[in-house]
Amino acid sequence: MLQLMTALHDTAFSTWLREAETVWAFPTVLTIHTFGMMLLVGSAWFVDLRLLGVARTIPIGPLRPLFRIMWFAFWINLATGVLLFIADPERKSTSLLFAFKMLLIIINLPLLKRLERAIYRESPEPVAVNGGIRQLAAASAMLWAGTIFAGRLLGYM
Amino acid sequence: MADLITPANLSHLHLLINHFPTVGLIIAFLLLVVSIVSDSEAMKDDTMKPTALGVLFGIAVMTLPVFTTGLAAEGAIEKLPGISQPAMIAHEDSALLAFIVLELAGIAAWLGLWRWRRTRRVPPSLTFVTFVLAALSLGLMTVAANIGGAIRHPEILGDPKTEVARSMFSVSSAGVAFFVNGPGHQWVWPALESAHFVGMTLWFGVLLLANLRLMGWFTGIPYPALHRMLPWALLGFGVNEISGMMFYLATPKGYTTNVVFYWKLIFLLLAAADLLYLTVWPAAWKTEIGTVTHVRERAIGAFALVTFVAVMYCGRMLPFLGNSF
Repeated sequence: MLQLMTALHDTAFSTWLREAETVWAFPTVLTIHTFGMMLLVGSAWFVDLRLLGVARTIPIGPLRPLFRIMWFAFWINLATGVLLFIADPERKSTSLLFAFKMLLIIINLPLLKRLERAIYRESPEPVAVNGGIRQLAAASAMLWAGTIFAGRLLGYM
Repeated sequence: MADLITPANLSHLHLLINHFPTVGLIIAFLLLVVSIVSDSEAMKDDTMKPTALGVLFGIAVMTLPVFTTGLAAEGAIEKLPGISQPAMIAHEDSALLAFIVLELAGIAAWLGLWRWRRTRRVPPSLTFVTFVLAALSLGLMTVAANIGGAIRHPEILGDPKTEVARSMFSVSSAGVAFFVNGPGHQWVWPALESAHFVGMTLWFGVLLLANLRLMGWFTGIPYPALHRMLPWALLGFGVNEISGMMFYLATPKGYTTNVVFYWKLIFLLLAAADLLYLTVWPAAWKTEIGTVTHVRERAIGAFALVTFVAVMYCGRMLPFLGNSF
């Protein structure tokens, strides 16, 4: 496995991403990743805060397009995340912190799906916010915070 | 643009804009006093307070570049003859305390504005807190400005004992730098960076929805409902101002010599203006379910979102563009 990562590390593309003397390589990929994070987690926290009881006068039904924004941002970050991994495969693949970040995301994605289904079901009118939905929202919001912390700390490992 | 970022120019800029937290603060404070008196006459809506609170919030925001150009000026003149080193350090430290109290006054002013938009009245408790913090920051700012004048003219202060007594009204910026960067504190910077990203995301989430509504999307949501979410944007702003200032105090030269940092400051001031716009602007407030917004609101909304992404871009690119770090 590690040999595979070393081979990946030594490919021309990985080397270019990592070492090219241009802002269009690593810095731009990292910035797009940050933009995706801002869009995905910003939208997710907005919905979570509303479900947890902040600004109750905001109708929940019209918020649904936010989930499309979240998934759009998620795909941006999966793509840029893969590129960031390719730029530094040996350390990322052996990092506990990186594995922890991936774990948080893998737990959170089904939560996000369940949250959307629980609120909107099949009917156009959203259901009332119950305790189960609030728990889902709180858990998901916290997992996103953990993901941001883990991701940011990866830059210092 | 890069040619404009010379130490001499930045000292000049500091001397130009330092009138915001001094002369500007006096005007804001007088406005506040007048508004408290004039609005107390009848049990009617507050009419003057929003203006006074808006000006105070603006002064608090404008003080950010005043503080940051101050450290740039320090780097430019510290080796010149006729400069009082102790006065410079005392000026920086007393300015830091005055800055912190003024920012708290700005937060109180913003909360007053936010409540006013909803109820047409600023709660008396908030008015009182804003008044006390503004008065306190005005006093501290006067001390800081007075010591600042002594950097070039040590004769202003006269008795060294007064200088020592005055410098007790201060927070040590060297102490903050030690906390962030000192030996054994390797965890502080990464932890602050994480908090900085959380604050940014919180602020962006709220302003995304508010501005998208004003741009004509999410028409099923009345704007006044979104207005209730705005304090979370202010919380993000606050977290990032604290963490950002700590980075800055820890390694000022990494920022003051980087042109990208000044771009970030300009975009940040525009983002703060957007927060004020979202809080009080009548056309925004009157956007109900199904209301089609004016092209002006659409343009401002789009501009605000681009501005915020630009703040993020400049911040994220600081280590890669210009000459930082």
